[in-house]
Amino acid sequence: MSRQGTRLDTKTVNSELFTLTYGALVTQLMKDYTNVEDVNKQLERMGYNIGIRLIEDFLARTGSGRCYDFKDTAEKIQMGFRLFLGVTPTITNWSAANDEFSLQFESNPLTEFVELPDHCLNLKYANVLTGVIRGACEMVQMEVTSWFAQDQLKGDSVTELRVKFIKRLEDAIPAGED
Amino acid sequence: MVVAKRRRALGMLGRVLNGVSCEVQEKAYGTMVRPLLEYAAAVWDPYVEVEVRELEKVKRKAARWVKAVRPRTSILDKSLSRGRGEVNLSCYALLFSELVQYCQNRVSTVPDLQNKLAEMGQEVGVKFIDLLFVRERNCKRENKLLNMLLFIKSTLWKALFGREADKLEHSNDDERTYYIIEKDPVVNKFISVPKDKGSLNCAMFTAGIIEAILNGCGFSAKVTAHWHKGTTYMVKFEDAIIARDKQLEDR
Repeated sequence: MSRQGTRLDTKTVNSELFTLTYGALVTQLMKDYTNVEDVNKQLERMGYNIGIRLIEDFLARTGSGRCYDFKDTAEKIQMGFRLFLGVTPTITNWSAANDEFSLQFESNPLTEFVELPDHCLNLKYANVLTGVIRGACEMVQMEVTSWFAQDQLKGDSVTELRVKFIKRLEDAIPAGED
Repeated sequence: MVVAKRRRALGMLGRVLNGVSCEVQEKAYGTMVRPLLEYAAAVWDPYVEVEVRELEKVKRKAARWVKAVRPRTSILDKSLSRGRGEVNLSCYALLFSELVQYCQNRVSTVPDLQNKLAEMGQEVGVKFIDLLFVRERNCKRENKLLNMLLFIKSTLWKALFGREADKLEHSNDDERTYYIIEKDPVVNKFISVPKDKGSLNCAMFTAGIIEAILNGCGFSAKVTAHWHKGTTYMVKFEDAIIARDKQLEDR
């Protein structure tokens, strides 16, 4: 992303434009793919592409250094959501080994105005977020995976995104190779 | 096989009873599928493990089906937000870039890509019509052409991009054509157009939004985006629309 001048601008756009643009993208994917699973996968991949670039922005804005432990990471992911989407998820449900936690969303700008029709119940509408987290963490040498444990669009009372630590990546792998 | 029959019965129920209340569905399942599941179980005795598993699968599927269509609070029960929410620009820029890349991978020429972007924009525009008129105009739509264009230039632009479009001009040589000019559209901000695709303007996305809104409000028009004084959106109305507007003015 090009940077103008030295000052980092904290410009924003209307969240409804964001919501509806994302909606248009998902609609298009639903039209182009016959299989809902492929749509989920594609959304995750797009999220990954966003994540590997968004992390730069995050580091530049917050000036945060390395994480001491996974709890630290959780807080930074939470901060990321606040910074970029303007929502603050709650961190809960730590696993005993401290390698897995949940982010609970009361609201989510991605899913505003959204209702899933009954034939799309397998669609993970906000799956782009799992990709963003994976991409961003990979860029700071951490392999994580995440998935939706609960989803308001499917009738749950909150949206719960579960994040699991897999391993530390020893060598930074360039994006696009594995 | 027995299991297949049951599954068919469940599938049929699913199609027929889509959207009815869950009590009805539970009853329907009870009366139509359950007897099939258990009928004469003693005779064919599902002791083979595979069969038992198959049967359980049908049951589970039924349970999911009943649960899945359980009425949720509808989106219409929520009150309309005031639309002041904001997200970070980088987020939007990256999302938009993914959108453009995705479109680009599915087409081969620049005009096709522009059409695809416009299509996506239309998807957004259609939804913005109601949102804006309900929120800003007390559900009253514009019926004069110029007012409609001004509405787009000011109200729509403010809602979408936080400021008005720079200019609205009427073409000198064609009365059907209007121009909305914006020096620095947010969608083009982080996009560098490759040299071999010089004519590509990703603001076609915005053009799509405008077109959908005009068409949705009964002002059939074609909207395209061009590189001119920044980005110029050329709005070309159909003859009938101009004629109608003149009639309105005469009255």
